Amino acid sequence: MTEIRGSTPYAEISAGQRAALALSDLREGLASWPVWLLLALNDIRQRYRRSRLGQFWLTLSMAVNVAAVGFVWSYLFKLPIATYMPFIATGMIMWALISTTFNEVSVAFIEARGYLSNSRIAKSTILFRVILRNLIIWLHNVIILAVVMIIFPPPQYWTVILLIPALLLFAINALWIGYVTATMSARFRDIPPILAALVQVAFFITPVMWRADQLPPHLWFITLLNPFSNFVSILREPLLGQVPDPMNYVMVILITLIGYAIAVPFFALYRPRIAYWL
Amino acid sequence: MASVDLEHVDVLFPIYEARSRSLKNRLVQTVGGNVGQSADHVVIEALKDVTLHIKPGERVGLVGHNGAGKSTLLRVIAGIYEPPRGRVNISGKVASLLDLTMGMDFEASGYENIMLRATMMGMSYAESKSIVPYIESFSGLGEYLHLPMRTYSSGMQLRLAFSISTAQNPEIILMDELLTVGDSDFMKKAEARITEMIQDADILVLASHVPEVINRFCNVIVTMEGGRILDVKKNAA
Repeated sequence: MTEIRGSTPYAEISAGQRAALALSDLREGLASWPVWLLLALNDIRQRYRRSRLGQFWLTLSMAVNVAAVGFVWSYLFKLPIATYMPFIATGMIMWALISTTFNEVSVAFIEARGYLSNSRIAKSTILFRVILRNLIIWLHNVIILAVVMIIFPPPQYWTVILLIPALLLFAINALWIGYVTATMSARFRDIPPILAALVQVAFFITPVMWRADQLPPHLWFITLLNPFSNFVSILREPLLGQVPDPMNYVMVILITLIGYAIAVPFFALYRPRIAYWL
Repeated sequence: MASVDLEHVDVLFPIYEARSRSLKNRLVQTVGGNVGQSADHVVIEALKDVTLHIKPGERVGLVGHNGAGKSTLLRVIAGIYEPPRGRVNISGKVASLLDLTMGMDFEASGYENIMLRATMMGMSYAESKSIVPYIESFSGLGEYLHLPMRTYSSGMQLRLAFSISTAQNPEIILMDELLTVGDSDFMKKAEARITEMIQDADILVLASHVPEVINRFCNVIVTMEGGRILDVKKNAA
């Protein structure tokens, strides 16, 4: 295997060449799937090494959380447990996926400093590792979703297949967010705490624990404009036996397109400098 | 055929932590590249106008003070740093033995680390599996390979890292100091393996402070200072 590589100085490179280099980073990242698969699996193994229950602590702690919040809140707010419990379980589990992925992609390059400053590994590989790691963690919580669905059956089950495009759209968006936030964080170390605070606020203003229809009707548009809430809808509603509002898909696709329109030139411009910032 | 070509390469490091530098420090500075001051950050000129052409069969020894730019030059050839100015063309399969433990997880077992490191080096799952018996015998770690790497002594950690890192036959080898690890028995074995690897490769670029090492392995000596190449000469030995 012979590798031939040339580099044009990035000070005198055209925008088109830059974009081509960014795309080849993506291609290399996709091609090195054994690397990110192994790294993602090892990340999870590492977290729970020497623990008896191992990664099932992920499931257990989430189950305890969901049960506690579900029972207490349905009692406090006098909501029927049969509808509130599935609502809370899906909300908390999907929010955990969204918020942790969002926070972790932003520190992906900083965290992978050892790799990025000692080897020629594609930046995309590092982002894929973080996204996959979070999807694997989410898979551990599928058990809880299944149990909740058995105890409190949804009106219909076929909608569950809508989860597949939703997860795919989620991962595709996590990637562009990573290209932007991980790059910015490598240069400005204040970005990760700012983003973490933002996600914290987003949790309260996004209908995760409360229903959008609890808002007065003239304010519903707010949830449509909140990017997080569109992702929560397409990821959660299929599990409640509902088909998400087409407007949610329209918004998500719009976010994807705008996101890449920003992320590609941004990442293309700053990609060669990341190694210097770490 | 492998080749390494660098033309007028500059590498600048922006350092954002250093807010102010005293005049005194500036006056007593005797090592490293030029440290310039930009508006809000310090810039280190790690490489300045470096032009270097390495042909197959050339074993290049990089010599110079600490901070002369040797490691940066190795990292540019490895493709880690893309220079803001100048051209870099590398052809051939590169093995950068700059950080042997790169990609290893000290909580993971020796066997898990073989897979991790080998995958990071670009081997497929099957290739990684296939080098396991070789590493078992070469490292001599035996039962320790089942234990987490953090339980190893530092010499044993290096033995493992060395064994995996040298389980490849690259065309271009990049090394920061000759890898000599372990006790005297292992050192002999390691040196034999390194020598063999260097002979099989087309190009070696080795940075070292040890004149005997440079003399023994290198036929071209590149002297660097302050990020520049001062001198390139043939080494008869």
